[in-house]
Parts: sequence; C-alpha cells; structure tokens
Amino acid sequence: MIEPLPIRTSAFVGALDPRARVLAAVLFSVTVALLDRPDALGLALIVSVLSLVWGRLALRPVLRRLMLVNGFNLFLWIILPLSAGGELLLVDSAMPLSLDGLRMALGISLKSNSILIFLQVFLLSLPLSTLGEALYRLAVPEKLILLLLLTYRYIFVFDVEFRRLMRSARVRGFEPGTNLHSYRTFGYLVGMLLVRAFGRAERVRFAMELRGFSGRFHQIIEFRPGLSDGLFLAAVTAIALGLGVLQWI
Amino acid sequence: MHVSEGVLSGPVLMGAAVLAAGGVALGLRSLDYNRLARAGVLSAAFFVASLVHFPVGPGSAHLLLNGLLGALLGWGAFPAIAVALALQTLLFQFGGLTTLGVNILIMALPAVLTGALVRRGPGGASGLKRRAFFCGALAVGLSAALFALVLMLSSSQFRGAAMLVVAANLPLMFIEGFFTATCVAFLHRVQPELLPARKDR
Repeated sequence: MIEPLPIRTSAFVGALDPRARVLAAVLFSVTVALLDRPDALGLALIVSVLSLVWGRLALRPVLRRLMLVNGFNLFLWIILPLSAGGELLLVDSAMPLSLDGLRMALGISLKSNSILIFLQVFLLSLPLSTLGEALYRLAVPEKLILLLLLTYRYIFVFDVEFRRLMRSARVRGFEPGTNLHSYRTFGYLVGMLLVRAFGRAERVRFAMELRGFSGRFHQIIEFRPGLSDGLFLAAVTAIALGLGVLQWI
Repeated sequence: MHVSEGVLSGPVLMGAAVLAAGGVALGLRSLDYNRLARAGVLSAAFFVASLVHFPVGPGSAHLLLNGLLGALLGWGAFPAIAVALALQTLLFQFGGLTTLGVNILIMALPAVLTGALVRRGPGGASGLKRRAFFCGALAVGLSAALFALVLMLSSSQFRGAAMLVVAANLPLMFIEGFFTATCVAFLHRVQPELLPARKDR
C-alpha cells in the first residue's frame, strides 16, 4: 500500500511556513549535492540527523525509507572498489581494491543519506495540498501544480483498482511467470486500467467544471510567515554557506 | 531506473535539470486544461504500473511505461513524467530533489522520441502492434543508454556500473516492447479514440 503524506513531525517543524520548508529543502539538497569532500559530507549528515531529532520523526519508518537508496549504495560499494582503478589497496591479494572507488562509495553514501533525511523532515512533513499551495506562491507554473495534485489523487485510486484487477486475474488462475502469456496478461491489465482511468478522468472533469472549477485548487489555510521562519531560513543558509566554505577552501 | 541521490557530478545534474525544465515547459504548453486531466490520469497510471513487479527468470523487474506514455501524450509526457517522479521522490524516496531533473530527462526524452514512432509508419492493426513494440522497446533502450551516458559523463570510474545498467536492461527491452504492443493493441480494440491518430508521412 502507498502511504499518503504527510508524515508526523514535531510541532516545531510543523509550525514552520511551508514555503520556508520548501526553500530550505532545495537549498540544502543542492548544496550537499555539490559537495564531495568526506569531511563536509560527514558534517552534512550530522546536520540531517540533528534535524531528524529536532523533527522527532519515528526512526523505523525513516530507516525503511532509506533502504532503497542504501541498497543502491551497497551495489556501489561492491562495484566501485573493483572497477574504479587508480591507487590500489591490497595490491598483492587476489582482489585489489581501488582507493578512489572506496572514497567515492563513501562520499555517495554520506551524500544520499543526508539529503534524503533532510527531505523527510522538512518536505515529507507537508500535506500535498499545502505543498502545492507553497509551490504556487513560489511561482511554479500553475498547470504543473494542478497536474501534481491530480496525479497524487489518482495514484491511490489506481493502486486500489490495479490490485482489484490483479486479484480477479489470480482468481481466474493467473500465475505470473517468465513467459509471453504473463507479459500479455500484464499488457491487458494495464490497458484495462487505462480505459477505466480515462473514463474516470472524463467524469471527474465534467463534475469539476460543473462546480465552476477554473484550474486552481484554493487553499483555505493562510500562510503566516513569522520570526521563526526567518531564523530557520537564516540558519539553513548559514549551514549551506558553512558547508560550501569547508568544501572549497 | 532512477539515478540515485548523490551519484552524479554538479555540472551533469545542472545541465540535465535545465534540459528537463525546457522539456516540461514545452510539454505544459501543449496541455490545455482538458488534456491536463488526461495527463494526470496517465502519470498516475505510470506511477502505479511502475510498482508492478513481474518475474523475469529468477529475479523480477518492473515496467517503465515511458514509451506508452510518449505515444499517448507526445510532449505532454515531460510534465506527466516529471510529476510522477516528483511523487515517487516524496512517497518512496526514489531518487531525490537534485536528481529530479536528470531522472525526468532519462525517462521523458526517450518517451517523446519513441512516442512519435507510433504516430507514423505501417498502418493496420498488425502495423500498429509492430510500431508499439518498437516504441516500448526503444524507449527502455534509450533510457538505459541515457542513464549510462550521465554516469560516464559524471565520472570515468562509473564505466563498469554503466555497462551493467545497459546489460541488465537488454532483456527488459524485449519484455517492455511486447507489453506495449499488447497494451496498445488492446486500447485500439477497446477504445481507439485514446490513441493518437496516425500521421501519414
């Protein structure tokens, strides 16, 4: 099952202006993505973990969400030291390891984890409708936001719908395997999903137009930026600058 | 097929983000509000279908569906894929914020290019099926090639990883092609108005 957003955070983080949170997430991600020194990246990870504590996120789901990226990191830990070349460790053994490859795998692991933890605290803690409104006020094209909100809504509908189609195929004895019959069946299932989806889209569009929809969802919550938002953004900017200084001097 | 956070170099990330933003802007211009609802539905289907894992030999893989999306939406595939990937980042942490641009480019550019294939070429039901096969297969192949390209552009040390990505995707090209052909043929029979009209020459 897909879990809807937002994830729970502390009241502190929850009270921050959504726009400030979006800006902070972008600023931090972009800065950290440009770093490559292990000490700067280590510091970035510490900042992320501190924000995790500040946001009081439940630890287990955070780790679960990081599993995917760390699975890929594991792949890099295996392949990079063997294939990267350059200076070698254990030169005389049967499996010489590339020092550059190890350094790179370490850097990538630190970087990906610190960015994804930071995003969880500040971005995933926003309901999607609020995120849409924040993006709208940050001058992201209106159509794109509308598309985002519509898609988000439909994801849950189609997830249920596809499970239903899959279940009825199973009831009729469908057993997926490595054969053309299975792939053809998947083709039909997704085709059927699309047919139903389009029918639904048309009906929803008519219903929305009938109610005077003109292309924008209106947000009822007011954004009231305050002193704490200013302080928060200043702190994130200072951290980003500090990381940059550590990297480039 | 997502570029993971933290892997690529700054210049590659930025270059890809600029190109992706251009593609999204072009795509948005081609979508009026009526087609927007359709694009939303399709990007949600793209999202859900990419969660469906099917067995391939001992392992499993999932559908990309970008060829199909390109066939149904044209340039509109750019914003549709952009939105689906943004949601994957938010809901599952596939990729991240800074890799969003490059991931959009990897998926959407092949979608637009191969989607154009479905709109021309041999006609008739069997012709359509053949075109759809190449559309799905080539979209996966091109995406894998782009993925390998951005890895190599970032650092020469990724050569081994890039080769692995391409090799792993070769059998998937065939499966995706077969799947796309079946799916398009199904739509052609059940609801032909969903498919774009064929352009003669």
